Amino acid sequence: MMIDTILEAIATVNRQDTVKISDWRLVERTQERQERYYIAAKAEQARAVDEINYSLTIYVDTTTNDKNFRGEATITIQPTFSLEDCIAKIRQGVFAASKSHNPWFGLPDPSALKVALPVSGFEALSPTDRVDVVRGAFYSAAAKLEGSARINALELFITKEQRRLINSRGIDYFATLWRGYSEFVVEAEGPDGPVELFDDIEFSEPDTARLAMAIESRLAQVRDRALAKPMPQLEHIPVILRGKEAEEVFSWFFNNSCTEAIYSKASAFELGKNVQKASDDEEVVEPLDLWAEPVIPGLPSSRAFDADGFPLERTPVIEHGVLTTLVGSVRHADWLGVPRRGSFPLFSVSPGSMSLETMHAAPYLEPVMFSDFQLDSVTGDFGAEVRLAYYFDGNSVVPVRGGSISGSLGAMRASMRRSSETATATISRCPVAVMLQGATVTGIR
Amino acid sequence: MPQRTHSPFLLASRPMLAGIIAELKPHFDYISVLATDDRGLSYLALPGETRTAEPMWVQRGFVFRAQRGGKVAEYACASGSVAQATKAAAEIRARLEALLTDPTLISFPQIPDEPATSEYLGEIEEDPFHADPESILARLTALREKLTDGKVVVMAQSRYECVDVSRLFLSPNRSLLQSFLWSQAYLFGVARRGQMSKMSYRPASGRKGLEILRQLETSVPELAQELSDLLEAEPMVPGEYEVILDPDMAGTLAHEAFGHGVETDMFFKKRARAVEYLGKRVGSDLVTMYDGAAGVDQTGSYLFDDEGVFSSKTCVIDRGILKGGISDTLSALALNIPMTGNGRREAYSHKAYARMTNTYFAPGTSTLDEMIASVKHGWKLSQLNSGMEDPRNWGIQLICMVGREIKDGKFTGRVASPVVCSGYVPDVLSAVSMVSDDFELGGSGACGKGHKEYAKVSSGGPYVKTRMRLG
Repeated sequence: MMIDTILEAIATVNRQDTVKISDWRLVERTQERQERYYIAAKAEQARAVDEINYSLTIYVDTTTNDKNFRGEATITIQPTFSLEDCIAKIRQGVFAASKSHNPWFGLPDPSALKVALPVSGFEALSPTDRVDVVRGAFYSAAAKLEGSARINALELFITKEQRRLINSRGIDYFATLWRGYSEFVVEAEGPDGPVELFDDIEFSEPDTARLAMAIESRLAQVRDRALAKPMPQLEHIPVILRGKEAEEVFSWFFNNSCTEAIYSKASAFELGKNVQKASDDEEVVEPLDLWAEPVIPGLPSSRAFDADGFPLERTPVIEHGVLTTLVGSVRHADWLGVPRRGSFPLFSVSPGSMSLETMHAAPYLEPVMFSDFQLDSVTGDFGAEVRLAYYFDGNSVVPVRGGSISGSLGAMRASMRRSSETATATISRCPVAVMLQGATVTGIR
Repeated sequence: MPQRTHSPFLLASRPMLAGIIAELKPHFDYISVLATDDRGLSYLALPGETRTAEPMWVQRGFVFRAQRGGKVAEYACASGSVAQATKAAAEIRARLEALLTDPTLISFPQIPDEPATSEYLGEIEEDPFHADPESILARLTALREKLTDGKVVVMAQSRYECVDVSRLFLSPNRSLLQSFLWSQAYLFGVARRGQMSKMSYRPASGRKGLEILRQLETSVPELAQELSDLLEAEPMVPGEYEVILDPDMAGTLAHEAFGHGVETDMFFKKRARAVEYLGKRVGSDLVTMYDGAAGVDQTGSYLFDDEGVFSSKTCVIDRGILKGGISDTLSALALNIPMTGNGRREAYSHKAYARMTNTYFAPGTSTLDEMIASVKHGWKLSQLNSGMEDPRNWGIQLICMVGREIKDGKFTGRVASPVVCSGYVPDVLSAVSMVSDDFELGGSGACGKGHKEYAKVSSGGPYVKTRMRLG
């Protein structure tokens, strides 16, 4: 077994060399993947992938002036490596680790995991059935709309990963992870020719209803894009962000609440302070609650332990707008002197008090597809070209296209409103919509 | 300059892989294997810590491609799965045959296998694999400390990464081998006043070694000033303006506007409007645009692509007229157009798509000073954040971090950040009124297909003056 070879190589280096490995962490990832690439309903090619990766992190401790330091280096061990190859590569890692002198921190010790990952429904299906079930969900939904909107292309990936994490402190965790991913292009005919929209979805279950809903909503929207008018120049209009873009807004709060961002000063957030306002005299319209989540059913990023091997459990991070707990890597938690909580893959946000119906009762601009929505995790600045939006002028809702929106979340966070409806997105369960005041809307007429 | 060497693993694997190909040949109409052994180094200096790791591009494995009755399948596996030729051949054959039973598969014309044998070895100055990690970390730490003044710039980080690429392509009639190294480095800074943060960066890249760090070391004063200016930045007043795009922005315009739009797998899917405009005008006479792994030396350069096709240089737009596309093997066969050597994979485990390599506008005859002097009211745009294409409907999105206002041919001192640039691609290219005589390629980013499949590319060229909608 390759893991045995790697452990023997570590022992050999520690036995023979002057510079010792103080601690180590080894992650084995074995992946089996089925891939299909459809053009309309035909497959361009069929692919299968078997991968195995070994990532070894080596820690080397030093002491200078009675102060302890810990250097580290992460190396890739190829499955073809012999024992001699492993020893040579590990020696390179030890040399590199001995040259970095970070403040000392300890690796997590063994402890019971606090959450369990649900067993995926993919587990009971054959490789062929996995593909057929997911493909069927998409194409059956599209067939209902045949003639007015259709699938142009669809790529499908279903991966089973078996991950084992062991470390020198005695941790030995194992997880089976399922990641389904599909990206699709839908198209419709308009008076000026065909138009398209692009989207993608991640999933860990053969949840045909969720998959069908994802493509149905885009098929309906691409029909609207075919009829959309150029977006007008608009001032002082609330902008409603939906789905993944709403999730990005909440991600900004989550990312800036992490130990690494605080330690490096990339984040301006402070523990115990209200992070929904830039100054004390601002009034927060709707205080936010945010939790770090290890598991959200249906999301492939769910994890019972983090990359360091720290067991995760649901943790409140922002309560009523105030940053109460820092989450993130254990080393940065130690360096900041805060309790270790681990690095979380997912988060959830409390619903707001405003229903979608109420948000839609007054004039608004609601972009539902951008070219590529960008929200800078440090500055909070955001912007994107609009591919499809719905504009309500107080009388009627019309689909519009083109132009762009931009702004800075830092200046809008106090006044933002969240929908009372929530849904599972890509890395969260959060309100399906967020309403922002003060965004710059650049129209094309 | 010292030459790279081929991967010992690939050299040792070549006879075994040739044996597997020989065993599989009678069972398929076409068979080939791409073997990769890309190793790399990654050094990162952050406030209070340094890290040494390996970049995401590190990989070692094989991908076998087979065709039978026109249908195409691939099986990719980690190198450890293929230890003994005869046993491995039987297993690989079984996997490929199972995949080829998919009834939805399209039939393609026969994949050609013209005889060819060739090798390429790149050259660099400072070999990062022979450098002391401590000296690299010290250079990166010095860079970030020099930028961080604790008053305006509250945080800075610096990164250096390199990948030593080694690729072997074997088919019954072709044996190709290439090895070269590319590097990229960044210096990021964050300026802060109260709760307001602004960020900017300087990149460096090339098929070079540690020598690219010298470029970053000279950029610190200019970046520090830029970060200070950004704290005074105002939101852009929406409207259409004259703009001067720096080479990075202009190259990304080329990449997004007509790079993705002429990837011929998009033609095959009928997703590219460009196919209707071949031979027609899409820009002003000043617009000439190329893509090619051959002809220039940057991070998108190579001898052969990941389907075993030799690289070339494609003229995409010639003086405003759309000329042709860049192809992967299957779309070229389906459309009966030339193979340009643009079939690229993120890794051995990923599919090959038609992808860009080095994409750029050809230089013109103006100087940057002349271009600035010609602007009545507009903005000089720099420090690209992102770009996105829309090959079917020809929208364009570029986001940059720094806009500097020009009025009556002079900078006013006003700065806008961020700036979202959008427009209709033929309008933007038809409005190109000046092109500088500079030529600069940057390869510090990666290009995705959709939201994945990252490939190392470069883009750039000259400064370009046009009109765009800014917001």
